[in-house]
Amino acid sequence: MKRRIWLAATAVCLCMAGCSSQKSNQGQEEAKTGAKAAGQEEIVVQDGASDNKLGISWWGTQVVHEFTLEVCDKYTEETGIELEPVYASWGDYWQKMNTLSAAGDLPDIMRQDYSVIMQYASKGLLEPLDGYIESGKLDMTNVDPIKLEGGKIDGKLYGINVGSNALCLVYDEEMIREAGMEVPGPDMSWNDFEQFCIEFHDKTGKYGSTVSDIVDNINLFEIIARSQGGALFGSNGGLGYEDNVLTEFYSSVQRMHDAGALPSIDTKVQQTSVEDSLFAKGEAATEIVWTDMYETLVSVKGKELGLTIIPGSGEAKGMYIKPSQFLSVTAASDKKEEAVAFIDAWVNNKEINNIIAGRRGVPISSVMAKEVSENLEEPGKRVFEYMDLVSKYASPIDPPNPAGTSEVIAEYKKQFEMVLFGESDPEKAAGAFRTNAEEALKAASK
Amino acid sequence: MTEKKRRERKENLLGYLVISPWLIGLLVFTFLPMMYSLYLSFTNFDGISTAKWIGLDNYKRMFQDEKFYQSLNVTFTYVVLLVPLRLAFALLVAMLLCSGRKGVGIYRSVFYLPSLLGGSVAIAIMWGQLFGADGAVNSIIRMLGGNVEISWIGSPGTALLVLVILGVWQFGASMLIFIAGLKQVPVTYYEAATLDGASAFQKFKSITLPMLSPVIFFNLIMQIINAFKAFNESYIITKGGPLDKTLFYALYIYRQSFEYFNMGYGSALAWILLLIIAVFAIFIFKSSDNWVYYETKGD
Amino acid sequence: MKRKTGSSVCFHLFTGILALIMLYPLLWMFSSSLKATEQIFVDAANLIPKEIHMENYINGWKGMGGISFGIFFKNSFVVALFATIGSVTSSSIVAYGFSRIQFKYKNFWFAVMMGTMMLPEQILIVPQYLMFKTIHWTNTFLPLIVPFFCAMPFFVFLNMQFLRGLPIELDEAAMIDGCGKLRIYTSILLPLTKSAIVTSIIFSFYWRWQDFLAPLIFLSQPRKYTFSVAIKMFTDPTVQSDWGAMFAMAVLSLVPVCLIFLFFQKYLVEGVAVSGLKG
Repeated sequence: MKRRIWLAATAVCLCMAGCSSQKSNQGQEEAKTGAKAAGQEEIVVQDGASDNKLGISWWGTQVVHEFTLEVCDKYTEETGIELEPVYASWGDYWQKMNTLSAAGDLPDIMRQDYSVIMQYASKGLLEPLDGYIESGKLDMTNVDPIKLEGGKIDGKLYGINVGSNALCLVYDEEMIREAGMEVPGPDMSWNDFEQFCIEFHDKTGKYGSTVSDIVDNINLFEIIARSQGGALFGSNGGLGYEDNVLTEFYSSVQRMHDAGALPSIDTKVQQTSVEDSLFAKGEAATEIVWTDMYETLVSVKGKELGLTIIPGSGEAKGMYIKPSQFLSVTAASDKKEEAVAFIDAWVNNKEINNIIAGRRGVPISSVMAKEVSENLEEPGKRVFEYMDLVSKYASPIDPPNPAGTSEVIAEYKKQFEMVLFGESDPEKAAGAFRTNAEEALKAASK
Repeated sequence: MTEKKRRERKENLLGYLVISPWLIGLLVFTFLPMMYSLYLSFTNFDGISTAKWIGLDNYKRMFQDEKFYQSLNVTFTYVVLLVPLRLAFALLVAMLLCSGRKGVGIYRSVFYLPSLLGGSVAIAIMWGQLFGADGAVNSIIRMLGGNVEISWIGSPGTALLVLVILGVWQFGASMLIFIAGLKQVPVTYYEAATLDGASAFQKFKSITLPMLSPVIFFNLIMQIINAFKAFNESYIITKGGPLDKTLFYALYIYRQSFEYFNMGYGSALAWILLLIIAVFAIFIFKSSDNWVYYETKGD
Repeated sequence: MKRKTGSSVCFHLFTGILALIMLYPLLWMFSSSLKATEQIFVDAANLIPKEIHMENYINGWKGMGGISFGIFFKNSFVVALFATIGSVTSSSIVAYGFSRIQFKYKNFWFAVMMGTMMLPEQILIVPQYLMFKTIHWTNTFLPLIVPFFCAMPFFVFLNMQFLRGLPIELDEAAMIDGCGKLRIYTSILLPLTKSAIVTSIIFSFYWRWQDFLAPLIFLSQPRKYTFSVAIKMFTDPTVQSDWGAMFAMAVLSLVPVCLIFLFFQKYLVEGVAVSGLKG
């Protein structure tokens, strides 16, 4: 009996030892087969970016992935420098980058966004690029300095803006003409827009605009605030506008909403993407979106769409051109020179810019912008023209968002929703937003 | 006496040997990350740069955090509504499907399939369609003569309820476990009961329920743990809205950690969640002596 | 006899209607995968596509950057297969230990095991990444496979509950017949917990197959991405998305998990009590 238990014990023990050695073998082996099958002859166990390739990361969908990979291939072809790309969609990208940064594993070049770059730069994760421009390694001679402003934090340049976009009012000309109304233009005020939406609703029973884009996009209010001489974020670390501006804006939207000129707020959650909006479905006459979405809307609606600047922003130059993406060099990179050379090629190389073809926004180099726009077709061309229009009505962008912005945005939306659900009034909501937002900003700047 | 002791020692050794795969895994893969996250909960770690020790600040902060209370409230409501509904439904269907009728295999597959869709984007879009203002649900209500304009998924009063329905709809996994459990009840018990002239209900009460109680217990514990940790539903479908009415606790942890760059605070929230779930689990484990029937005295 | 037909009709009526409700989303997804990307939302209420767009499948399968979904598919399959083998076998053994062997501090270890399930995975991912990086496991499949050879608490607990439902007399009788503990486990208890094992296989494969967060974080080279990570690259709120391809690949990703389920679920039918609740 005794012996038997021992036997059993040894057997289990052996089996387990067998198992554990087997398991690592299995792991290794399948990793090997995976790599082989993929046609790669590299070492199986390796760190993320520890080989001598130049790491680069970006977000997007497969259209973006395809042409960016094409750019990488082109670059390798021309310089012999191999790239190691990492890519994912927007939300996943940031979760991954945050994890990598905690581990000191960021790729050499990373795509940065206006809403996040401040976080990364202020933590010392990004390399200032001013020195490289001075030394000529990063050639910005054809770039209007104002286009680089957006990447500056405390006077230092942390990212090269490789494409621009702007907020716009997209409208369905056909629908509006059928209702016997005039299409919106650059001189329309916000009050005109409110009247326009209500009138359109009264005439057609359809909506003047969409509710989700107005409520969820804090940059819309930012433009309104700028048009009245303020800013969303003030220089003192708090908010930079007078409360009555937000109160009026909330009230105006509330009036449109309650008049039925906007879809009911409870439909907001149903809109999961641009393609899904009530404008795309032909239920609304206008929609406020970023210019990146214009082409998508045109392809969904299957017709040309008009676009103009945000109502009320014209004369006071409330509009701004936003860097839609930066290329940044990470501070921990051991290949900074190569990284900078790649960014230089992105900005100045003709063939690379023809591959990108303005799909990441208008190139910042005036030479490249001309080159690309000549080869451009509708509807991309229309966006280029619109950006020209915007620059007439735009003033320089405010500094990148401070730490704590995500919480501020969440709070802004919540107060907005409370107004439209009738659980708060515009004045109370504007006040509550200020209190909570400034508290969040203070906590985050600690 | 020594013989008994020696046997005990052997039994101990054997026990540890048999559970050693898990013990090794615990030490190598689980323990360190858990302890690290516990450490982070006492720091101001933002997720990207070096952490600084701030003592109990994160834990104190919760007391003043309105969203902490809101998310707790939402999560408790979700757990209390979802778990009993889903389990009751799963058990009912599992018993129907164990009746050996024709077509049972097909039904079982059909009922399990929705669980495979998980919390994908596709489900998010579809669920929005179904429970939206112009969705299929409202169409049916209008057909029946009701007059509704409401978007169930988008209104503060009903959004959480819609997520509960989604959860009940994905009852397949619990159902499968119940079926597996029912299959283990020896037929002879039922045969004997039939001979004794027991009614179907009597059989259910005195054979099925006690014999199934270990599995019911299992499902109950696991469902409670999972419901407390629910994340995908609100992350993908409602994004915590409207008015934070579907702000699940796990979603709030995620937001603090990855969107608001407060990973230290997020970790603290996570450890509080662990404590809360643990309290529930201990309570259920203690109560199990009274209602769970084991063939063996396990411990 | 009459009563029986009546109850049978009720049964099929109830389960039939339920089946329709359960199936609707699947049909909807399949139908969306055949619609033109521009039509998916505009035409969302229609279950029958106006035109059939098979190219969603062709374009989707091409993947991106020259990496087709064939590669993502294989990655997922390898991960799910090995992780399932690992977790099902190890969990069953560990469950045996917890339910049939008396050892010191057993309750303590069991409590610890339950405790490890109570932290949300999102919060553990960063520390885990740091750990796997130090042992040079990042960007390999090892972090997605090896930990599962160390038993999964869910399956351990599941197997335990089934083991504890088996009478101890079985063990005692076997012991008298001269069986060792190992023999008792392999030849008596293991076959009797077949339904728990089958359930574990079905769940484990599905969970590993659709697992998203761990592959996203631990793998960096797109070539090593799994199906679930790759699918998400079709859609992004900030740019134009190929919804058609996304739906097509989402439908395809259901195929292996469905096959695994269909293959293994028949073993559930053959349980101990086919006619269990008749009458």
